[in-house]
Amino acid sequence: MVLEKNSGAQQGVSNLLGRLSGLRRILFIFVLIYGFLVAIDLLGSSFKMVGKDTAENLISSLDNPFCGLLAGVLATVLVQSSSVTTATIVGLVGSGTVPLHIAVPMIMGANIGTTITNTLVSLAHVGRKDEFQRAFAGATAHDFFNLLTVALFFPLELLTGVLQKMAQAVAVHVPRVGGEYPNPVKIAVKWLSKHIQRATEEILGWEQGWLALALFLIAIGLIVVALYFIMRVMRTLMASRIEKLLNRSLGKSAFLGLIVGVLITVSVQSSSITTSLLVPLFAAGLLQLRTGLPIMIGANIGTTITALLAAMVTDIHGLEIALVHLFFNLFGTLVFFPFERVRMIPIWCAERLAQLAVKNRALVFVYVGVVFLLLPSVGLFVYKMLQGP
Amino acid sequence: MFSWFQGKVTGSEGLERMRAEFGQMLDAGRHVFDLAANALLGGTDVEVIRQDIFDTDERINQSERQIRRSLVVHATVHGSGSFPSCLVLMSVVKDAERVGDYAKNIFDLAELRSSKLEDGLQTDLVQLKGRISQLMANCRMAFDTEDADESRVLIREAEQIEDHCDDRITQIIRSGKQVDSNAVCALSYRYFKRTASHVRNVLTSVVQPIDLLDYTDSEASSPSPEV
Repeated sequence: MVLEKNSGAQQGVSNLLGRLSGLRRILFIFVLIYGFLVAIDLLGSSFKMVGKDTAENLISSLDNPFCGLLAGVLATVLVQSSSVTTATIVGLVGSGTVPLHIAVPMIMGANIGTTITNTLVSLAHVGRKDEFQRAFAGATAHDFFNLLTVALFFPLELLTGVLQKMAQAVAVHVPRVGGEYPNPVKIAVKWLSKHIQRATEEILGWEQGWLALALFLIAIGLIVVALYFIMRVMRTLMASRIEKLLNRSLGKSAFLGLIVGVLITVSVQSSSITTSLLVPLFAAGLLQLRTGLPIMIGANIGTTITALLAAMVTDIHGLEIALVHLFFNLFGTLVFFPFERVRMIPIWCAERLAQLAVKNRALVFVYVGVVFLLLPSVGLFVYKMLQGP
Repeated sequence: MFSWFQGKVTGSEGLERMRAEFGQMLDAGRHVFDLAANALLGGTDVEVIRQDIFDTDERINQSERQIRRSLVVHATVHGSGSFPSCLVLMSVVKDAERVGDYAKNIFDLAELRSSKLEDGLQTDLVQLKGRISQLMANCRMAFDTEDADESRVLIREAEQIEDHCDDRITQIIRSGKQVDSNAVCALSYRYFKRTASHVRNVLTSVVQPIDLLDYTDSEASSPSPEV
């Protein structure tokens, strides 16, 4: 999923929105969100269709937290959107296909994978030394923050399951989900989802297994398309607000930056958009790492809204994994944000790496390749070997 | 709460804010020019206005930096569609800043001047000061309303002022008189000319495409940088 600026597509969305009145714009966004929720439901249904045993066989390779973590990284790198990955995970957990304990590391992996987008954006400045150093340091500060958070919470979760337990404890108190009252959103989503399933079955006339695969592909496609348009539309509608928020946060307090990061990301439903917008500001020297990192940390929290949205149409387990995503990012923030010395750790790492990268620019490609592609692939392979047949 | 659903999707709000700030820069430029020129030609006590001159110039400089920052943010958020407008503002904001700098130069002359200016030149400079001040006020309006016809008229007025200054400088140099006040007069004409020239540059942004910014219609066919 290409999230970087595409002026042609953006112009098309602007033209479309320009022709719509206020009420129609709201309806358009609701239609997109509805399509997204239908896709989440369809995803769960496709796995239910193949039967419990087959589904368990399919995900058995992920029945290792390390594999889950690495799969989360790879999946997010491939689609370049943690929103797509986390929403898919919520759909799978919510349908009972993927157990919570496997999904938690996948969510953590998605947090690492999503940082590749702004790292790639920083490469646009590679031609100018100082500019590139600032851009690359800004982009990788987010990488290091997320890597350090995973380094801290992944083993902690393995040992104690604290995130899982907290999410389960909170989820039962959230109204509607798992409650005795009917969920109107769920009913509306199920209605269309069933119709799509029936239509696909009638048109293709395939047997159960192949039909499930077709529905799975339709669901993934619909998630990607719906989220793509939600992000585009929201970004177009919110552009002036985002501009105002960024102008106000430049050079201001870290806490204001954190809030701005949350607000921008919630409004555009994508942390990649927020963090990628910051890279040119780092490059131009308008944004310093001390004030820029809090915006990125805020983006981590803001992006959890997509998983929570997806959980509206799943069972309680879907909500649990969405809450794990939220708690993981909140706790990461609580550990690294309040104390400046701790907050400086990812900044220090990013600055050192940027200094080295400027001296030898090939290191940038080595870094991207190793962190986002080689390590996850090797990790998956090694643990699969260790697991045996 | 959902007001943003109703708004324009052109992203023009940010640019309008920057244009408003630029307008304030032009106003401040006129204010500081008037103060400095009055000190030079009208005998205003330099100590009385010193602080105002330097504070206003600092405000102009701050506005320039603020607009530049905002332009980068605007271009980042809105993408390539906003580049022409951003580049125009990036260019003219420098001209507005230079007006403040020349006002400070004029103020320095007022401080350094030890003898009275020659009567004819003094009267001429006072008239010129009035024309430039009026040009600045009109420039602000023409820029705000994007009035191309008015801008062309004002560009011609600015060119006439520049030519007049050049003629006077030539006249002073060729006169061969070794008088201190002549140096002050020559420099005054020079600074007045540059002030008018920067105002003219701002006006070209209303009528010229980006590659011809700072050039007038007559210069556009064979552009050569102004010295």
